[in-house]
Amino acid sequence: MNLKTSKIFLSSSIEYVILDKEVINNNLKEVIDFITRDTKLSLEFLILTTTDSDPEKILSNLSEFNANPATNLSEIIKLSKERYGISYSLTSRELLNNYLAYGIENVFPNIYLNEENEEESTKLLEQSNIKNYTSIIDLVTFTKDKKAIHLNKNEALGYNIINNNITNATITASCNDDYLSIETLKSKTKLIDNLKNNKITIKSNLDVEIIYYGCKYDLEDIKSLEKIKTILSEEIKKCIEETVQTAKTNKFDYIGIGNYIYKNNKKYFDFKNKNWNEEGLNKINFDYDIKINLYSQGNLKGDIQ
Amino acid sequence: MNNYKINSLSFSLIFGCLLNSSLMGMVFPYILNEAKTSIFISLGISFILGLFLIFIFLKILNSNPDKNIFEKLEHVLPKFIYIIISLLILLSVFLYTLAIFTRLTTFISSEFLTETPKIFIELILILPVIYMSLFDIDTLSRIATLAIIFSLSFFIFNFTSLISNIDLNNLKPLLNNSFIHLSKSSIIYTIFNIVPIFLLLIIPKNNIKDNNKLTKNIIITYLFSSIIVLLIIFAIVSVLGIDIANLYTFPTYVVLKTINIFSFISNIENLNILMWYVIISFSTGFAFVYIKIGLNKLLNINYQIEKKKNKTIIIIELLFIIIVAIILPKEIYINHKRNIYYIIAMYLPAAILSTIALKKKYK
Repeated sequence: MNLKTSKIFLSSSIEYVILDKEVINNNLKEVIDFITRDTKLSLEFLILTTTDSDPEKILSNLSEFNANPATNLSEIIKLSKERYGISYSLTSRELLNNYLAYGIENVFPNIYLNEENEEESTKLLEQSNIKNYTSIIDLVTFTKDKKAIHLNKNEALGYNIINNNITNATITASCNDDYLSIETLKSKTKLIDNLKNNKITIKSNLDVEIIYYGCKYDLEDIKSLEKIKTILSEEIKKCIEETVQTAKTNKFDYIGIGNYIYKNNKKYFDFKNKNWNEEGLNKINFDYDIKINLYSQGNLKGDIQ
Repeated sequence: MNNYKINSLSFSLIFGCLLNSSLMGMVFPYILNEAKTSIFISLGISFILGLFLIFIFLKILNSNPDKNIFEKLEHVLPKFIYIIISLLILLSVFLYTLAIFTRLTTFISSEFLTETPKIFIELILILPVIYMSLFDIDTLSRIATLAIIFSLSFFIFNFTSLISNIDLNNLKPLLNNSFIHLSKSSIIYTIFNIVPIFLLLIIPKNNIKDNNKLTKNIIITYLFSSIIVLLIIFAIVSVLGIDIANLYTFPTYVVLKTINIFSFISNIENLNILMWYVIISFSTGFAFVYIKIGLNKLLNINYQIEKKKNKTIIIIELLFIIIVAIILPKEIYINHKRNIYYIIAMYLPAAILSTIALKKKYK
C-alpha cells in the first residue's frame, strides 16, 4: 500500500524497466512470466540493465524530470541506437521473443549513474538541484554461466549493422593522420548462407554521406573516392568481424546467427535437442561483403561519382 | 409465419458476422499453437474445405425455399426423428452461444476487469444480447450491417497502424510442423469458422428479396472474410512472432498493444478490440433468435402473437445466465486446447444437415 502519494501506478504507461544483473542471471524467467501475465503492461517498454550502478539510485535520480530532454533515459537509448548505432533499445516484446526463440540471446543496454560529489537537493521537485545524470555506457549480454559480455563501441555498431537496427548513424573512420565521419542514409544487411560448406556471408549495403572530412584525398578524384569507400568498408568490416569474433570466443550467439539458420535452414541443426551456442556457432565460418555507396549531401540524384 | 424480408446483402453481412464469431480466443490460439508458422498453409487448406461446407449450406438453403430449417426437417423426416434432430440442433446452437459468450466474458474479465466478479460482467454483457434477441431477423440484419461497418473500420485502422511493426522474418520457417498438426489446425478452423453459418438456415430463401444474387454475395463475403482472417494472422505472427503469439489466449488483443502512432497515440488496444465485442454480441443475439424460432416451431407457438413469441427465449436466456454464472464461473482461464471439446457440439448439426441434404428424398 502506498502511503506517500495518492498517485496510482499505471503499469500500461511504463517507459522502461531496469533489471539488475542479478535478476537477469537468476530470475529472468520470473520477470518474463510477470510480463506475460500482467495484462495491463504494454509490450513496448524498454528493458535496461546496469552492471556498475544501483538500479534504485538510478530510478530515484531526478534527471528524468529535468526540462532538458537529453536527460530522458528512454530518449537517450533510442537516439543512441538510431543516430550512433552504439546502443540498442530492447523492448519487452523483443526480450520475450529472444528468450523464447532458438539461436538468439538478449543484448541489454547498460546504463550508469554519473554521481557528482555534491549532495543533491531533491526534497522539492521545483527547487531541486540535479547534479547526477544517467548515461548509457555500452551493451551487455549475460551468458548462461552468469558471465557479462560487454560490447565495446565497435562491437555494438557491428551488432546493430548486422541486425538492421541503424537508421541515421554517424560512423567515424581514420584516414592517415586525420579522420572522416559519415552518416548512414540507409543500411541493409543480409545473411547469405552456404551451409553445405558451413559458411555464412554477411552482406551489408550502406548508403552514406560524408558529414566531416579531414582527409587529404581529393574528393573530386574518382580514385580518391574509391579509397574512401575502401577505408569505410574496412572500418565497418572490422566492427562486424569483432562482433562475430566476440560471439564465437564466448560461445554465445547474441547476434542471432542461429535464429537465422533456424528460420531459413532448419534442418541444418537440431535446435530442440542440441545446444547451438556450444555445438553449432563455432562451426560456422563467416565471410564479409561490405558495399558503401557515397552520396553527396543534399543530392537527391544519387552517387557522387 | 416468416413474414419479414431482407435483401441478399444483409444476408451476406450476417453470414460475415457469424463466420468471424468464434475466431477470437477460440480458433486463433488453437490454430497458432497447432500450425505455428505453417499457419498460412493451414488457412489455404481450410479455405478449400470451407467452400465444400458452403456448398452444402447453399444446397440446403435452396431446397424448399419457402421454409426455414425446422420446417424443412419437419417436411422431410418422421415426426419423432424430426423432434430429436431439432432438439439436438438447438442444443448445439445453445452450446455454441455458450462457448462464444464465455470467451467474450473471459476476455473482458481477464484483460480489463480482473477484480470485478465475473457474474457482473456477464450480466452487463448479456443485457444488449437479450434485448437484441427480442427482435426479428430483419432488425438483426440492420444490426449486422452496423456491426460489419464498425468492425471493418476498426480492422482497417488496426492493420494500417501495425504495418510499421511487421517483421517478415517472424513468418519463417514456413513449414515447421508436421502434416498431422496442419490437418488438425485446418479442420478445426473450418469447423469453427464455417459451421456457425448454418444458423442462417433459419431464414427461408424466399424471405430474401434478391435471392438470385445470394450465391455470388456469399462467395464474395467468404473470400473477403478469409482475406481479413489471413491479414489478422499475418499481423499477429509477423509483429509478435509465433513464440509470443502462442503464449497468449488472446493474441489478437496483444498484437494491438504494439500500436504506437507518431509516438503519442498508444494504449488504444482497449478501444480497438471493440470490433470483436460487436461481432460476438451480434452472433450471440442471432443464435438466441435461432433458438427462439426453433423452440416456437417445436412447441407450436404461434409466431405472429407478439406476447407469446418471446416467452420461450426469455426462459432459455435465464437458463443461459444460470449456466454461465453458476455452472461455469471458474472457466476464466480456459486452456485453449480444451476448445476442441466444443467441436463435437458444433459438428453435430452440420453433419446431420449435410446427410439430410445429400439424401435423394430431400431433392
